[in-house]
Amino acid sequence: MTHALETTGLGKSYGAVTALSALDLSIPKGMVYGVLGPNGAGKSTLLRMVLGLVTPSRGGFRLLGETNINATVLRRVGAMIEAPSLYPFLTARDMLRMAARMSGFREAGREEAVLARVGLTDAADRKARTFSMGMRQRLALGAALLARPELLILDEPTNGLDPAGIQEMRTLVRELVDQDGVTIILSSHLLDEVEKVCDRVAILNHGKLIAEGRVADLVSGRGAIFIAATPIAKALAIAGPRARAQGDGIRVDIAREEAPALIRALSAGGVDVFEARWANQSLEDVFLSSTAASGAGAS
Amino acid sequence: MIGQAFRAELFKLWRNRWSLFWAFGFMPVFGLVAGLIEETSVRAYVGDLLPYANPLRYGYAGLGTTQSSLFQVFAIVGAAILFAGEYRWETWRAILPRTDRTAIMIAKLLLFALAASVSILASGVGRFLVGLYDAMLTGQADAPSDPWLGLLTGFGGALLQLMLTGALVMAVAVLSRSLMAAIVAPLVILVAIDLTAIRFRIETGELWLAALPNFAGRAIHESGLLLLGEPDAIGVHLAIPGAIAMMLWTAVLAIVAIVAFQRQDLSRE
Repeated sequence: MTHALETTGLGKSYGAVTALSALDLSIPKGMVYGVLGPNGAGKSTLLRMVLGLVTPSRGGFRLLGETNINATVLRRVGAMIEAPSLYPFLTARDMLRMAARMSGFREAGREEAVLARVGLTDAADRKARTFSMGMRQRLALGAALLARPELLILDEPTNGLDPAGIQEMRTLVRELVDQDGVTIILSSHLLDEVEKVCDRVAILNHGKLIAEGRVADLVSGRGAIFIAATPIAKALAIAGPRARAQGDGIRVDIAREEAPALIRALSAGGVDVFEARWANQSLEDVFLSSTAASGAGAS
Repeated sequence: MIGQAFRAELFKLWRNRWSLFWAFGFMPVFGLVAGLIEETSVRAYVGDLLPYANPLRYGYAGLGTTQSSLFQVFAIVGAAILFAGEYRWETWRAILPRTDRTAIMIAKLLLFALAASVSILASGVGRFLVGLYDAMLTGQADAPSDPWLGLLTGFGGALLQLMLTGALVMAVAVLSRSLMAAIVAPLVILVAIDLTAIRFRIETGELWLAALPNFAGRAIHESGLLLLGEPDAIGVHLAIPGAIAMMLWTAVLAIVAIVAFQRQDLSRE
């Protein structure tokens, strides 16, 4: 199977600071792949290395099946990295025309189609310096889409968008993958958005890969049970280190099949149980627990 | 790929009209207007200094005005917009995945050469028009026979000097990653060279003077004057070494910029 991106021991250091350790990652084609991590995790460094903006300190990668990363390969990739990168004196239409010339891309009417797709037709002749953050984000996305990329790299694409814009972005991302066959690597801090739109995710922390897999697999079978009980101190003692006090009860991070045994143990230990409620773990829970465990390991 | 990058850069500069005018258009316009005012004033208060005008000689002088320090300041600003603008607007990440690093730098240098050439020619044409105005006032005009080689020499000298300035800005822009530094550092160097030049005279004919761009430029300009029939041209023998020196300086600075840019990590612009 050809992958959109395969990294082998890929790493980057700035002096004594390691931005990314030896990263082994394979991103299959034809899906939305999320790259998650707290600030400083190495996400932007990874994406900048893939785009040839930063030279790796070690390891290598294969992009769209190619190891020789030059402009010919990179022209098959569209990217929007960090804040939108626009010329303030260019209009939206001119920004796309400039991008087309730079890419050596010609297709009649493509600029208009892209402007319509990102919802900027009415602002096509306004200069970028007059744009709101959301409009800048849309224009940068349009520039990334212009040359019909096989791979789209989006770093925080919903920054500055209103709720309707976020919904449109989510729809657009899924359309690009499901209808146009584009592969998307998406980095975001909005984990509920990632959970809704991504097929597979990698979680980075301190420059290391700490979790990777299908979103459904990462969140399934894991969760927490909330038990309204008294006395709480006794309940915490019986439930062990995975439990913490929450409101008028305790919250315990366990597998779903362990729940009946826990409730029986609490009753047998003299704890009055008033309510037990199961909550599936979200991607945010996975992210927080993974990064916390990794942070504890690192420190 | 250089051609595609050049087309994109040309489009971008053309759309950045305000900067384009101040960097490359203002001085020719200023030269034209100042020349017309000067001719009118001289005519009104002094009368005809010469019984005839020589518009082509005016045009040649116009080509030479681009070698003045004032003109160089505007050229520095123009070059800084071209070479350091991407750092200022944080746009390298938008264009580098679309083109090759060497190609984009060469394209920018070629675009600077084009803009500088147009600016030099516009200065020459502007002063030529002033010469025609003078001829209209005096009612007499003169022209050197077969002036083209002289004019071409003057144009070439001016272009070489501006290209050296552009390459200096290019190198500073890449090394500093700053628009401000790309303007200020070459200005300081320009002033330092001017101050150094005050202590020496081209009439001495010392060969090492050809290494200084203002002497080299002046020598080429003088050799153009000689070709236009001016017998009192000075420092002409420094013209060829000066041209070689300016080409070498330009090449070295451009190569430094391109090599540094090739190795530059753009973790942030």
